[in-house]
Amino acid sequence: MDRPIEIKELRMIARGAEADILEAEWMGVRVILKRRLPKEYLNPALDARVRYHRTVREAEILHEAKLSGVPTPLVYFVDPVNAEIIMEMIQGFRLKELLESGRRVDLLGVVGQHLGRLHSGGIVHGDPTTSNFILSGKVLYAIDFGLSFRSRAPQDLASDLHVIKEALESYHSDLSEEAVQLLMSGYSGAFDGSSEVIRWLRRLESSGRYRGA
Amino acid sequence: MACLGIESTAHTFGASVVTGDGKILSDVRSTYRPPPGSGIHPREASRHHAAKAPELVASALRSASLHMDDVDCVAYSAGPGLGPALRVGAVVARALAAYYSKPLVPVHHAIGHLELGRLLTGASRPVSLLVSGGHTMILLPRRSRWRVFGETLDVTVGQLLDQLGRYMGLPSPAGPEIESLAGGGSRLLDLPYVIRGNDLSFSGMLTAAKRYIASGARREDVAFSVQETAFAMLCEVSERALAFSGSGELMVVGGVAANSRLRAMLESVARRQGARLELVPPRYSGDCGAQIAWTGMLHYSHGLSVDPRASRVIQRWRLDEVTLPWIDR
Repeated sequence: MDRPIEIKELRMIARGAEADILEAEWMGVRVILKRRLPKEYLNPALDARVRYHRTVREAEILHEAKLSGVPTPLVYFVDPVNAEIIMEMIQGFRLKELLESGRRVDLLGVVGQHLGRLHSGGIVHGDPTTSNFILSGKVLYAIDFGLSFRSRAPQDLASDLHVIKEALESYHSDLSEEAVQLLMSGYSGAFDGSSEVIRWLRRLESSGRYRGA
Repeated sequence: MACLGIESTAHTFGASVVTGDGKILSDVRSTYRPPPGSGIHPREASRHHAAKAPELVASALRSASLHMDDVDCVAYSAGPGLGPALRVGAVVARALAAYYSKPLVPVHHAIGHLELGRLLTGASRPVSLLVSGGHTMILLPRRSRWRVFGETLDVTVGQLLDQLGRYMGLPSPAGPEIESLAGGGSRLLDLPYVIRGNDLSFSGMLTAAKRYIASGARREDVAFSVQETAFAMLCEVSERALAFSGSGELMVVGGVAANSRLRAMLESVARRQGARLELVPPRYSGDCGAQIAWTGMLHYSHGLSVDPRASRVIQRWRLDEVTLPWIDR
């Protein structure tokens, strides 16, 4: 499949284990180009299949998240064969930076609400660290759905809460207890099934795998 | 200093003597082989172990040119594993420790794989892929423990290969036979590729693979497809762990680490992430007494031993529950 309109790649934003994220220009606007590159160690047919399905799923979930009431980048174009997504570039500040400067702890209530809404819609984000939320104007966007999947199983949902809590406790350990409380009350307020997920979270945290030193 | 280690978790009964500075003085073993097409029977395995134990322990000491009086402690694999098989090793170790008044050290079998791997490769803080019959985990040594980065949610890769092999009437453990079958395969069949976060699931793949066999697909193609798909999943999570941790070392241990296709794929994963692949010599990648002797030595030199009367075996035992004082930060 050829792109209907040429894209001009401007700069590499991040190179992950999963995909490259580039800033680009497309139809006169700044966009994000996410590209899953082939891995030479994989069987080519398997590699193509996995990249195809992941790309389609990510694009679908970016859209479904909006239906659940969580702002995400608009998907402009999907090329599953080349495993590329062209999407809106969200201009703003990462939650990570906003928390580091010590302000905007209040946003954790919104993060909790976003996760609650995603979970109500049967979506697990998969990697909700503080780098994956961007404040643009007054709107907090959730980004990078590369590891997201559909599930309503409380143990899967609990893993999202675990990831954000761990990010808060390890990278933002200077934040008060209030931070986690804001997160959890935002979550409970947005999702009817929250109490069972929180029970699973406790189990997860008390198991050997996640226990601290 | 020297430690006599006894391994009897599953198929293999092994005995080994390792010194305090990590020299393997001896390592002998005997493996129980169930008839082709059937799996390991815990009672039959324990009979095999009980029959072989006296000669193997004597042989380990003889090859090390040591007598029990020269040994500083006796270590045994306390779990996880098959109860009847574990108990044979525990009884032997307990009897030796009590009779010769030696400290007795229980060792977690999988930690044995990981620590022997570090000893033999010289890796310090490697991202570690542990792939065996009992375990499928991606780990990092951090803050007094081997921390789990990702793991299987259901069957292990070893079980996947063994159960597929048994279904095709191959002898168990079936890994080597599956590998040689896969060499003759070329067509990639569609199998479930399931990664949840950093965790993996293989049970759907096992069901689907059996279904292909039942419907007459070439065994070579099924073996090939299972290897390609399952190993790809392992590589993906290993690559993420390397990217996440910034570790420059990728180590692979456990019986499945002997598979050359897996090794080649991991070599490429390591290269992509600017890491070095650390391979344990094939002789020591599977179950052996040396993994128990060396880890027992580590525990003992950090002051751990148990009263033989209080020693026991633990069939289910998570490796990240064990505190290891020699892993810092």
